[in-house]
Amino acid sequence: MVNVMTDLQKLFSQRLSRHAGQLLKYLRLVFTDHFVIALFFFFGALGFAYQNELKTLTLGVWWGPWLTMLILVIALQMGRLATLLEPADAVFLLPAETTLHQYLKHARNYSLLMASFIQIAVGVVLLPFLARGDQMTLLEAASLIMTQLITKAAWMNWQLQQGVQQVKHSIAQVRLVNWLGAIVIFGLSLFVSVWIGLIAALLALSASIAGLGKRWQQGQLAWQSLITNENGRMMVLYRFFNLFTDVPQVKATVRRRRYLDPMWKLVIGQSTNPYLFLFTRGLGRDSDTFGLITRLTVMGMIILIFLTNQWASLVVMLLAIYLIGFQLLPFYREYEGKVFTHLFPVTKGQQLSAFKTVLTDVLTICAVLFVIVDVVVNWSWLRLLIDIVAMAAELIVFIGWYSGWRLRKS
Amino acid sequence: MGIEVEHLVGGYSQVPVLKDVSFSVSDGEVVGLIGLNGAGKSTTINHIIGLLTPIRGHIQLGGVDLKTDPAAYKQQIAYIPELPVLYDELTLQETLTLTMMAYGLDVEKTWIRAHELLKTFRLDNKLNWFPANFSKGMRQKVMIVNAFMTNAKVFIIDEPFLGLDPVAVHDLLQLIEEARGRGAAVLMSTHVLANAEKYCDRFILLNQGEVKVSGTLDQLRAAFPDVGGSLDDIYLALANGERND
Repeated sequence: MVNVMTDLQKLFSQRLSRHAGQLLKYLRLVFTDHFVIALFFFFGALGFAYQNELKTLTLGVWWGPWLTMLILVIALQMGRLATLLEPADAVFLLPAETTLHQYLKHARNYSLLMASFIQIAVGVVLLPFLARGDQMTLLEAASLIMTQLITKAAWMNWQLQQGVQQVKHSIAQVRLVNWLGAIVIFGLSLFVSVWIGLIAALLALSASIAGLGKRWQQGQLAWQSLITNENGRMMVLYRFFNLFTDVPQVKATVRRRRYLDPMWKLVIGQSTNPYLFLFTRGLGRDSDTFGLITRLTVMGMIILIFLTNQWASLVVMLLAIYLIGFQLLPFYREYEGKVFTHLFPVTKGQQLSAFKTVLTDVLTICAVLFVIVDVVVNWSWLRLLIDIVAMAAELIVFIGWYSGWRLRKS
Repeated sequence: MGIEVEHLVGGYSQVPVLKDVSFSVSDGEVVGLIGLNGAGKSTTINHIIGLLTPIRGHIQLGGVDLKTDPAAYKQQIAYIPELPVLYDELTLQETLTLTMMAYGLDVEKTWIRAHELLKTFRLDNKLNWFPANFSKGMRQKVMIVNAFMTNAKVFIIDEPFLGLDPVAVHDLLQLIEEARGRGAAVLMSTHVLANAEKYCDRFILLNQGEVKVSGTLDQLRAAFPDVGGSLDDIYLALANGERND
């Protein structure tokens, strides 16, 4: 039994280091040089605007405490309990259930630490506003931030309690306590006295500790909800990372997109090539590639609206078409992993010709959209002529020669 | 005709999993491919459907070699994989349409047959569903409908009974019988020996990449005289022999 204990204690730190490594890997992909510079300017501008706003603020405005309360109550909801539990744990760790409370305590401490960073950051940003808008002394402001941290600790304990005891609160109940409780505590802080608010937070914390202690180490774990919550938490992270890079855990969802049905009839016509059937539907319903093409096309069109210089527009159009086409190329291999793709009595040539047909149709639609936007904004016959010639030439080179060369190469 | 495997040596890498495997399945015959986990059943099947290239040896389907005429070779196969494989972006109806297009089947006639099968497997009201909405058993049924709506000459069926309800197992066995009656060659790998014993004409017992013994149940009994009469007994004797090696 001693062995199990020590191993389980090590388990959380093992999980944590793996988790941290994974986060680091994705963060490195998110915070690339360009993105960091962009963020730097964005937050610089935001800080500058905040400073200017503060200067014009009359001391002790009536809405000061309300705004403060809103911000603090919302900030308090940030930072969830990270148990780092995995679905397999429900099977493998079940026998060690009663010793797992120690593991969860570690998880609670870690989660609280992380959440505290967020709370403190919000508090620090809020400090100048507290001083001017709410006319607080530094001591009062500090005790308000303290109240925030203590309430967060109480909330974290309460969240843990949902997992260690078989007390089942509905989601609505949990939300109600999370939000209403916060409103009561900060209401006391901001409208009565920060010290009363602090006492209320301390009472909430002791209540949460008592609640946790009562059946701590005895109750069974609510495995199902612990694991569902952890998966949900991870999915939020993964979905965020997925905006910047491919995350394997986030599966592309398939959408029916019934409105595309007539388009496929148009593309396929009388052809009996099964790949034409597969590629059109795959491209139209797979949210990843479809979203990518739509985003690039819309972005290109928006840029074209603001460009008047003919040659600059032309470069943007050519580049956008190239980018869209280039992003489409990997779709050729989308179905290599499916056994039936290899079983079909269909030749490679048919596969390639189907892909090129789809490529031609998609790129032509994009090109037509670009040309329309360009000539509508800056009308001239010459411009229309040059656009059409340039787009046609690019499509011929890209589809006729470049795509085939690229696909054979990889 | 049917399936002819001659001196097949092959596997996933340079290390051969199959060592000189030879057997045949005639037209109108159901042959059970039996063996322990890792004996080489799936590898054999992957070679026959053309996913793997033999290191040595030949495979012919209906007298056609994969190398000389891949399209004609593949045209004859209906395959049910061990784990259902479906295109995530296609509805049930489109999946079946795609198969019909790929094999150049008469769409109208085939749909009549497909609707019968869908009704049998209680899928006829799910034509607009995506694979994501299907349970494991339903996916398996889609694979069965997909294979048996064709009038393929060769059926390759890899462990088809897992996850199917008893009614579906019964219906599948009936379909296999029908295919045999039509003159198709059926190769079926399975661990469900009771079904194999009842429905297969012959058996091939694979062990460590080699054909240990093959033949009708009577021939197998003759090869393992002391162990008992059923396929189960023979299989266990083979497994025990393996353990003592």
